[in-house]
Amino acid sequence: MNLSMQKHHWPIGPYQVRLPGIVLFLAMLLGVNCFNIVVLENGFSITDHFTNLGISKDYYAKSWWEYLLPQREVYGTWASTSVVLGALVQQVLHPAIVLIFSQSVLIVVGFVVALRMSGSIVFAATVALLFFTVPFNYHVYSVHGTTAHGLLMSYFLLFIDASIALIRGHTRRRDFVYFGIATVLFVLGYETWIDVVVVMVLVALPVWMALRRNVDYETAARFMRLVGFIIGLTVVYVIAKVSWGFGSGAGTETDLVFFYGFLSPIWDDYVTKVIAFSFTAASLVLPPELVSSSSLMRMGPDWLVAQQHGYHPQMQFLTYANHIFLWRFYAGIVFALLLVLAVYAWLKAWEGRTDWRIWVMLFCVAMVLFGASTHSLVKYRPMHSMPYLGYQVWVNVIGTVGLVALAVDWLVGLRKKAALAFVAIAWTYLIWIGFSVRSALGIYVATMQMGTYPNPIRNLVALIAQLF
Amino acid sequence: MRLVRTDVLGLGAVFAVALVVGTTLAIMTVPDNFQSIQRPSRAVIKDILADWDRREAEMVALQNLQAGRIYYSTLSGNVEALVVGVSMPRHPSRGFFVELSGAWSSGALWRSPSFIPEAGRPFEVRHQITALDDVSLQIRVKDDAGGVLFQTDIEGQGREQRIEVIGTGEKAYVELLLNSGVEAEAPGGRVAWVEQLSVFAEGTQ
Repeated sequence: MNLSMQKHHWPIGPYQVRLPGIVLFLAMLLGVNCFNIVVLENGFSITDHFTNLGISKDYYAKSWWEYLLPQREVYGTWASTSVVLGALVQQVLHPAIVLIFSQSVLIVVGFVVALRMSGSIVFAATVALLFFTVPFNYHVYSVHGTTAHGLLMSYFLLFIDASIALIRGHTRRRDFVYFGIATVLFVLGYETWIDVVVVMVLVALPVWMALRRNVDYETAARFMRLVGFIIGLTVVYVIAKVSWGFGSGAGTETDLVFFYGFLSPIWDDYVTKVIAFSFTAASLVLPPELVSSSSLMRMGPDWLVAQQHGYHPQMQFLTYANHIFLWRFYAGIVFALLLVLAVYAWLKAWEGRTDWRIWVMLFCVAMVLFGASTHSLVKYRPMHSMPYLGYQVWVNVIGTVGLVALAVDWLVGLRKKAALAFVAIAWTYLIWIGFSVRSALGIYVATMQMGTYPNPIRNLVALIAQLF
Repeated sequence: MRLVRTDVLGLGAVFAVALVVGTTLAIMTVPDNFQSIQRPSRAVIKDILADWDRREAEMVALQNLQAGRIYYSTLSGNVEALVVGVSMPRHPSRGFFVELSGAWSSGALWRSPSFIPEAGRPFEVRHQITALDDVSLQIRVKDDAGGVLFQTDIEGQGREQRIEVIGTGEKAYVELLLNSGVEAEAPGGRVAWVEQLSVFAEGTQ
């Protein structure tokens, strides 16, 4: 890994990209992102979540430090630097502005962190593009509480960036200050930051073994110190959370699998969601036809039922249910492939490959596979019957973004003379799929009766029709 | 030789091209009715269950009325289980259509599964059949040895009709025949709509 920001030019095959080119690209991306949210997705239809929850005006008269604690008024949630910050700002600004701002911050932070991490302009620019195309936060149009979700993900990226500096052995004061600020922002962002801890613990031993085998004892020791620090921080966090704002209980949204009291339902429930959540993230970059039942999407439920011609009518609903749950076959395939990829990446690290790509692959695969491990502790809910709640699996989403960007970077490396063409083809796919997935998500959410999503591509067609 | 000057415009130009082509592809491939044909799963399942509840209520009412036992009925909606040997397309609202299969040349259009009526006790065949395309149909009740227990032409075009037959204690079945009206060499057409066919033993009350 190298800090290529100092070079001021970055190659794409035989071509060079300089800073003004990057600024122009990011400006275009942010402009398109803003247009998409405001015009195509009708972002100004979003309303303030806390107002919708009936939070009284007294809530906003608290001392500033009280917002840094779990919020008893809001189910004990501890999301000071994202949801709560968003709610406070939304007393002044429209939620759509907060959404645009947080998504824009994510695009820029994603680009900068990816470039610092890899030195690859293709990787970094694709990461930035994916934070526009991937509709991980589309549920904000139904339940409006995640307008600042982009900030949460940005904090995580900053935490990664700061952690990499420490693991590399950068021990200047500013490195620790940067790490401290990023960690505080991140930990106070949302309870599911602990998902990251699970991923770190899972990869800790394999990474430590690979580093030690390649006689990189110092990096191995620094990495394990970081893991130890995060585990300690998690213990303190959980004690504080349980003491001040524990909101789980029978019948609540956060009712935990442990309350089943028996191992078999705990296991069944947990495994179901680990695999399902993994695919929920991966599905955001796949054609909808490879995600769910294409016949359900294209023909509709009534047509499917009619085609049974009344056979076994008392149990006919199971035929329909088959189409609702069809996506789980694809989820299993993707999960198995990702496990193979994880083993491959670790073997390469074990063999001594020090390329940044191997480490990004290893950590990103782990994030896609197990990035929702703590969220999976919450009991299975009807809303998990189709893969559309991307905001719940934001760690997996970042892993997915990293893997796809890595794939594009690898593709470009295959034939450097055609680098720009490869980038154009890959980005075309991502934009196409991004809009297609948005339409498909609208189907899933309608099927689950969890509200409605905008259909930007139809809105665009209507807009064009108006113009001509 | 550089084909594209990437110093400033390259990355933005690639993005612009991808944006135009990718968006166009999405417009072309996302169907207009992608979302409008969808319904909440709860509503779909509720309709399926309501349809079954209605059928079940009809059968229960029939059974209670006769204080007897239903051998089978199209009211159950299980057309595949009722008609032996051929596949019959379901009518959009009730019952099923009778089609001339490719293998049909003459004789029975379909036959029901066998049932064993109690010897000396009456059982009832209740049917509601509409002949289509000017054909003439006949319904028969036969025993397993091929003996005709009862036969009559379908008349009344969809009006409910009842046939009462005395059971012999041997296996029996119902079959529908084509008297005339369709050329034997022209299979595939729909010749009847069986709105209802129920066979049940009458009670002792």
